[in-house]
Amino acid sequence: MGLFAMSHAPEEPTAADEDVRLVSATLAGDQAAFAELVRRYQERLFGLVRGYTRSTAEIEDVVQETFLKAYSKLASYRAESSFSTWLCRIAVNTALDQLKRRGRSPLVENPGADWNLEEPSEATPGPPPPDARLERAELQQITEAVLETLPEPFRSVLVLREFEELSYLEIAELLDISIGTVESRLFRARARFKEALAEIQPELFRDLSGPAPDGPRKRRRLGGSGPAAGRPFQD
Amino acid sequence: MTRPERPELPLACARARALLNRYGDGELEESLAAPLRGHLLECPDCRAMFAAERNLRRWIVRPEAPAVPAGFAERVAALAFAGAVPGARPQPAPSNEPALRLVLWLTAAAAAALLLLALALGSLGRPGGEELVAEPLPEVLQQLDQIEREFQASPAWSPR
Repeated sequence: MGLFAMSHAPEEPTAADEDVRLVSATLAGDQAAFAELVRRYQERLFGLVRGYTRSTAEIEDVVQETFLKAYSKLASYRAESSFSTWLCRIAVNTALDQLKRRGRSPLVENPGADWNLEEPSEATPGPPPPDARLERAELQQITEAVLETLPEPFRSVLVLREFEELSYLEIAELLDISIGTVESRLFRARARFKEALAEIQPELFRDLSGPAPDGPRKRRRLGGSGPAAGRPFQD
Repeated sequence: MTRPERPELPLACARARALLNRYGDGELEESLAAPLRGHLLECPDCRAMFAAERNLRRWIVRPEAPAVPAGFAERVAALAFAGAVPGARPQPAPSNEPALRLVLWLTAAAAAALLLLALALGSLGRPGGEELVAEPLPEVLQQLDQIEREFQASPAWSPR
């Protein structure tokens, strides 16, 4: 009986199922359904766009434009890919367009070029861990200052990896590049970050030292049923 | 034959270091991660390199995002639906845009042609400059002029 009940218990709809349902309802003219889609992703997009600009008004503009673009393209969205990845791709492109329009970063350095993985240099062993006396807000300011010096191909992979905690596969899908390119750009982005950090914070860089915890970092996955969900990394 | 400036790394170290980034990101499959962990336990140089890699990531701190304004979702949804095509439906895929542009262009051209035609037709019934001549005075006005001239010629009339 218990087994029978279990085998026939209705499955809880996943976040991806709910996205698809809301997209269909929006396409059928349901404004409340679209408002619900916005509510589901607004905080995530505010956080993502924060990696590109510190202006609150600009962040709000970009997120609003992202949702309006998503609405106008909703008929072309295919449910085989994750809605969140699709939406984040629009947000990244909108943020980059906005910055270009206003004549600011992102700096673009050989956008078509790519770099091969290099073995980490032994001559530059890397930075010491941040001083415990540094407040989180100070570290955030330092991060922002360094990020602003990074050319665009590096900035996006770093934001998506370090802030959004996306997997290599999710970043590859979002930026429409290969996993190898993600790995390569991430490697170079961190090297650039290290150089910029040493330039901006030379005194901290010089004096500090200490151990770091071992083991790989856990990451957050994008919600949804995208091909990245639950799959091991494959190269 | 020239000697390399620094000795070649043992194969295990070279392979291990190529995997450190992926391992640090949690992207390395377990079949490679397990032997890498073993190598890191035994090799202080690779362990130091991995520690430096980890330290760098501790400097990268996500900035605080601003709070989402109250009513943001409702406002965006209202904007989206207000700007949509009649029927409050999302815009169709942009494949129809060239056809729509052609229809709009043809409509504008037809409107311009109609305007020109109306102006041409309107000007047909109007007299030209040479046709604008004064009508002769009516007879009664000529008689009044004659009476006035006779009155001014009489001795009883004198100008003030």
